[in-house]
Amino acid sequence: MTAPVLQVRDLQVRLSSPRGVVHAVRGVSFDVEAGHTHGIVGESGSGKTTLLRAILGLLPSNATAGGTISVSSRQVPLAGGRAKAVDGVSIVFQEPMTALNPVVRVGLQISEAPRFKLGLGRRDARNRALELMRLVGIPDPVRRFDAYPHELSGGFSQRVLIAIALSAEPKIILCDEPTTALDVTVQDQILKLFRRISEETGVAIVYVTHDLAVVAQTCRTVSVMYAGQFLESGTIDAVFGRPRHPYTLGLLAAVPDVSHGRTPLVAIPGSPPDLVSLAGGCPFLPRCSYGREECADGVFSLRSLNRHQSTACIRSDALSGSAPAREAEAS
Amino acid sequence: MTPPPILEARGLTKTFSSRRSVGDVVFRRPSEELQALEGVSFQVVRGESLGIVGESGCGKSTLARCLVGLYPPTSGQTVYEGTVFEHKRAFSDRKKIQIVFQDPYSSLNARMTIGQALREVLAVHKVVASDRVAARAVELLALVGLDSEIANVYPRQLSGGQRQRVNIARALAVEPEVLIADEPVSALDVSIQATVLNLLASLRERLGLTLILIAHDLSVVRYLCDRVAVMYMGRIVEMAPTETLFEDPRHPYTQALLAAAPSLERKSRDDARSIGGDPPSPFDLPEGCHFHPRCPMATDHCTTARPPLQEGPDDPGRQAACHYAWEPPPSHHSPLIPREPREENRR
Repeated sequence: MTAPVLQVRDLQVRLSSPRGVVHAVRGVSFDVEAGHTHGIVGESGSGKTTLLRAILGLLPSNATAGGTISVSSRQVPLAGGRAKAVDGVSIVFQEPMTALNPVVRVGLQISEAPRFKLGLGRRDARNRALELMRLVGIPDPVRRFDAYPHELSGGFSQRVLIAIALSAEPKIILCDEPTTALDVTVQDQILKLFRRISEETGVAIVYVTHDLAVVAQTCRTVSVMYAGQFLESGTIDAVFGRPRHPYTLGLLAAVPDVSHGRTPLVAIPGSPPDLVSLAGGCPFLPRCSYGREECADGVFSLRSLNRHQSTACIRSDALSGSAPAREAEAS
Repeated sequence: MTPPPILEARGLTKTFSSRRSVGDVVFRRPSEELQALEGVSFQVVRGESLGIVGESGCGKSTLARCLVGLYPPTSGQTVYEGTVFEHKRAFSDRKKIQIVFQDPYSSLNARMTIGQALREVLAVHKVVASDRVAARAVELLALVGLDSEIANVYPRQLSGGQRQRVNIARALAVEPEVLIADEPVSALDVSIQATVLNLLASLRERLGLTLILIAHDLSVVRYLCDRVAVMYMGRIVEMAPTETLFEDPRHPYTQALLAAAPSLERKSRDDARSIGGDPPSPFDLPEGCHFHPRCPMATDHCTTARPPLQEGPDDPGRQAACHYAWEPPPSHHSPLIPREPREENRR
């Protein structure tokens, strides 16, 4: 077993806002090994993006953070404000059209990091950029090198962003909903590209999305995030096949799937909690149908069930018999 | 014999012209034309739910707006119960077809309480007697599963799911026969989507609504619709009953869409059917079949002849716009891409 390239231990991030302190990330721990893809699923406001910014070393100035993050065994400074982005980590954003500089040719945007960060000469940097463009599947890179972002489609812009993310030879690529803005057929191409890149370059990928099916198709392991903490973690087969947290179970029953006809959808009642005024106890308790009195107090952090799975639910035994309805039907 | 359709689109075509600069006018440069809809025809019977799926830019939303009367079509007609709706619709005709928009955050007036917004619709359209307006607004909120207290709050105080319910209540206020939902859940969180989808399903049943659901998400359409039309670049390329379409898609584009849709269960990917390339620019559509540059089955015939939307030989309920939807390409049409590995995949 190799040492993980990314280690996050008990990460806490608090953001001060006019409404009070927002507890965006509350005690998150996980590891990602080289060449692996780890998915993080969560709804909007669950703290996914803040978690990524912490790993990138780019927390906003109103943030205070605790815990540790290490990338290739080097600690990431957690100070908020104008920190410097961490070496070896790069990010692919959701909106490919707005993440590129509209007045700089895409080739120059890709060769920027090789030139100024890796110290290559102008020509070497250009060759490196062309090589990366070929790697991410941009046909005719010599011609496209001189294109401006507006001349590219959404799918090609996203490929350019991935090339930029790869250009500084990172150990970890963070992906913040990279295909949400894309069409289904283009999304499929980009997901395949991520799989190929992690196989060919051995880079670790942290893939954040709200789409369970995308995670199931891209990642080997997954964590389910809710109200700033992980409620369940494990391999895809374990977490989606035998969920051991009522929230995961609820999500799986609430999402329609293309492979299914009219299996009735069961909505999760209520809405996610406000991260300003969080009480103690399990954050999912107000929406949980398995809740008991003992769920109202204490700290709910992940505990390991077996080699493949861990859950934050203290009543996970109550769930063990009840696989999601549609799984039972399918078999 | 099928019942007469409640709503019919007859050859709806919509062309937008690009904005022209002063220079374009001075030098008499022609404006570029974007064909958003190209001869879209379909019929919907009362109580049916029709899904319209396609990728961004395929003309789904333009179609919705033409049907509701927000855009005048360049040519073609919207026919409601046998009468043609002019673009400038009579006041009473506007009530028949209503729409729910995608973005629940921008489609409510931020300076009106929910109650005011609903009462305005009821009063303007004189749906109920003036002394019943307030009571009816509360009834409408109850219909979509919201408390009467919601009437006194402003949109900003509501969550996305609640706002979308309000939008549905507002559309239902005039008691329409046909409800068009344009991406009703794509802006909502996953755990909330199910509540809105289930609401639409139950409203359809309770009120006998005819539903036209526009979505890019195939799973949403499969969940709610009886019949599905797949659009690509302004045209319907395939239309069939939902289960038939998902189980046995005939158009290569439908096959590609289904192969590309991520699923929790399908672990092994049907890579043979997935496609490369991007959708073409709508200003510069390919000759012949719009899909031929990305199509794994295209032959030289497809580059010149545009296939019409045709019924299957032994299956009048399904239509596909592909030369080879019902039979494989004849040998004298040379394929653009070598086709051997695909043969086994075709049923």
